[in-house]
Amino acid sequence: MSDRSVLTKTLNAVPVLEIPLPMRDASRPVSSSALDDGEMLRRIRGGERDRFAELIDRYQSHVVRIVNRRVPADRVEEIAHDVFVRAYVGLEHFSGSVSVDHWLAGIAVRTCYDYWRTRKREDLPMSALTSEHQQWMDQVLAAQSETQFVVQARRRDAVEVLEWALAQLSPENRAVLTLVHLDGYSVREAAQLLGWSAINVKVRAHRARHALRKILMNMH
Amino acid sequence: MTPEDNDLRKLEGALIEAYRSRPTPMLGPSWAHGVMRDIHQLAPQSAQWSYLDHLVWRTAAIAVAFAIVLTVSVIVLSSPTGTQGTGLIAEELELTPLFMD
Repeated sequence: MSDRSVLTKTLNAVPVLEIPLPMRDASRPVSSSALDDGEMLRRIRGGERDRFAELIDRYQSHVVRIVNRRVPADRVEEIAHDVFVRAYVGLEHFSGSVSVDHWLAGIAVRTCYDYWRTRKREDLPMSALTSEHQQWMDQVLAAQSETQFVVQARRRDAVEVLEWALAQLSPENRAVLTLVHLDGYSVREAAQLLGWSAINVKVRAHRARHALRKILMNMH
Repeated sequence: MTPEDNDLRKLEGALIEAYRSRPTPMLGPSWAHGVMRDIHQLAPQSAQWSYLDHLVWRTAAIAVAFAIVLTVSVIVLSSPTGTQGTGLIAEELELTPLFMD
């Protein structure tokens, strides 16, 4: 397959829906973990509080991966900490109808959403884009191969432009855009994770993507 | 597709790639200890509240059920029976003409 066709395939896959999602912890085989998790949760509920450390150990990287994509790097530890405390507090309401990694993913997504919701937009540091970011955009647009494209996309400038663009969205639009367009969840999955109605997520996903495109157009 | 659309798709694709390729930090054991410390501090209080919650709600349910039973029995026992009621009305009707005179 030529580089050009690979690049076209990559670009046509926006938003990509068939990708490994962080909702499931791929590092753990589901069939073998399900019973262990159930037994572990039963024991924690039964008073063996120290067993919660096992749950942290099992799902720490799963939760940190989700949180790390959503909040500034210097807040990841604190927010991941809050996620596990919330999980412990909410343990008695966990019905077991979904897997533990899915349940934790929902708590993580909502905790990150709360983080942005409790911050006023004017309090957020809004770093201005520099000529380097502008150059980065030009280089992305000029990329002729998959390799060039990926190299440009993995530069620090890319993350900074993304953060800058996301900072201009409302917390609600940011949460939905991140789940649906960046993570690649379906509307139904995103609605489950946020605890919102599917129609609300669908409308917001459309508006948020439109807003992001407008921001990118103005930057360019 | 216009050239602008194509450019936007490329930029979106680059931002998605940037988002997904962000390296995940490893949190050390001290972080997990910190979480467990908070959970240990939280647990007795949460258990106590949970016990109190159950106690309060159970007592409230019993009290409401008792109040309903009591109210129904008071109404049933204190109200006149059907025949007694009819008798009183008939008595009143018989006495009415006397007062009218």
